[in-house]
Amino acid sequence: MITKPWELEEAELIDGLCQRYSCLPSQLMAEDVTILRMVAIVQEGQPDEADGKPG
Amino acid sequence: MVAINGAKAEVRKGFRLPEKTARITFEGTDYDGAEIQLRLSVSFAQFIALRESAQGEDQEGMARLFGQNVLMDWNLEDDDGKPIPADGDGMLAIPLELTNLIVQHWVEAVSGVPAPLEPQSGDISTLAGASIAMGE
Repeated sequence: MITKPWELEEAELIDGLCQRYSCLPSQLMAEDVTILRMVAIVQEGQPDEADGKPG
Repeated sequence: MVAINGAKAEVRKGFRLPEKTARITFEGTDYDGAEIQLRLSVSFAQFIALRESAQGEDQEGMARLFGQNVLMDWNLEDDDGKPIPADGDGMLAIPLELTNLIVQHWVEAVSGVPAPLEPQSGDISTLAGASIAMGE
């Protein structure tokens, strides 16, 4: 099994959040890290691909 | 409580906004009884710095950063019953297994889904999970 290098995971996370909120990485860096918790909660409300019900 | 059209009075000064914190315990492990107070409101930059230290296998740097920026208080004592300081030096004085448990609990607290919601496949309590969730 091939796993992603952590540097790539980190870059994807920062890039993804910046795209999501239309902000610069420097602005993201100043944000409270609990933004990750909010994203996780939003993720829970997304419809499940299989049955269309919230996760 | 809301006072409407009340007597004109000056707003009292000096209310400090409460910090977001978490108290973690370790039931069911060798560290049952230990209580640790951690800061949740840290910047994304501090979170990334901690992750980089951990992933770069700089355990000392990670422990010091965690002790300075996240750790607030604990009830840990050494073999002589003396309190271990709740700071970077203290983080270096405790077993690595406990260090890892503390950091793991903290990462779950700042980035995990709170009860009663169950984490699904897009669990972002790990950096890998978060980057996958961002890519969906």
